[in-house]
Amino acid sequence: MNMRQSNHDRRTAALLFSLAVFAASALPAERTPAQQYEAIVGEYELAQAAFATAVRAAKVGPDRDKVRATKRPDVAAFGTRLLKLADAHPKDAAAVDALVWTANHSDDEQAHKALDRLFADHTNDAKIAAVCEPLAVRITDTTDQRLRKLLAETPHRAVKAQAAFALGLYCKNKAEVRADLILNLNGAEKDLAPVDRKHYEDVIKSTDSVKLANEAVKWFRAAATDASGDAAFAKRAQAQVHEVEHFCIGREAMEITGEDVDGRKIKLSDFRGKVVVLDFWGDW
Amino acid sequence: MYPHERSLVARMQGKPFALLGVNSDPKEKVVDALKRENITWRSFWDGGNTRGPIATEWGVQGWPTMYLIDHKGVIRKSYVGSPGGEVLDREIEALMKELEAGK
Repeated sequence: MNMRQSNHDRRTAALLFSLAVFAASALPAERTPAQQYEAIVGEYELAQAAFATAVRAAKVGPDRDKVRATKRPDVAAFGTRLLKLADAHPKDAAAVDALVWTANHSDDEQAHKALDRLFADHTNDAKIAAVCEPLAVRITDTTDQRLRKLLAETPHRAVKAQAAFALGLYCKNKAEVRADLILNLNGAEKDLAPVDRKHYEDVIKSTDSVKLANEAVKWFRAAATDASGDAAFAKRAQAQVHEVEHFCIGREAMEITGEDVDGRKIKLSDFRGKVVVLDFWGDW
Repeated sequence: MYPHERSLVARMQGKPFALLGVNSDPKEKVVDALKRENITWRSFWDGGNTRGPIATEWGVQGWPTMYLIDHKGVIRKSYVGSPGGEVLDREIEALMKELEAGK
């Protein structure tokens, strides 16, 4: 009995060993999509770290510029590999990771390819939340439409909150861009080309800063409501409501009453009729 | 920024322009800076630290933060961190032009 048992054990061990060898030899070709994703992103992070080291190692400015110009990791190459991975396994969770990475790291053309797929096939996935804020900062013709689609389709309340927050940022940024264009038209941009002048005038005519600010407030409020489980995020959304209501470009500055260091009274409204630079400063 | 601010204030003297500070230093440090740096423009003193009532109300989280306010009292631009003298000068000029045009 003992003898048979141990023969059996030996046979089992041998079988397990050969299975393990087989599995190990097959591993490189059989890596899961998630492992492939991790490998590509890991490779990018190593390249990025090597780049940072090279920049630090170059001592003088011109050398650093040269390193920056020649040694920067090729984001597009990583994006291409990740898009391919997403194409090969469209239903796998790693596809969403790959598309999110590409949307947030790549230049416009590649990012839009990834965003197209994300918003066509993955609005149900909670991980899509990670593209919302970067998308709002980018401001493109499709930003508004994409975020609204996500808001309508996502089953996750936390994603709704992120989409609403991003829509708020989008409106706020648009109001700021408009304000910059007005300054640029008035001479803040040197040697303004006629074609740009025309474009600026069109944008200014077709947008309304107060309307944009009010819309931003509405979105940030919605974000704060939907973020009920995430206190830190709700706080960020509320801070945005406060900021846009009072300190957004295009709003009248709130009154400040106070004193200087010698106790003499000052009011911001004392300076009405003048152009004012209000400078929050410290001597450090 | 002190040298640029000094030259800005000097250049704009007599014009409808004001540089107005909100200072977040302890009292003795402000007094020293005003004297040492020959600061002639006025500043609110915000209680001696970065959590003063004005900075808190205005949601300031980085220093310097600047707001450009036009002659009607409307906020036209904000910066967290200094935009650099050249950019600031051009944007101030753009607002001065609006003021002169009576817009």
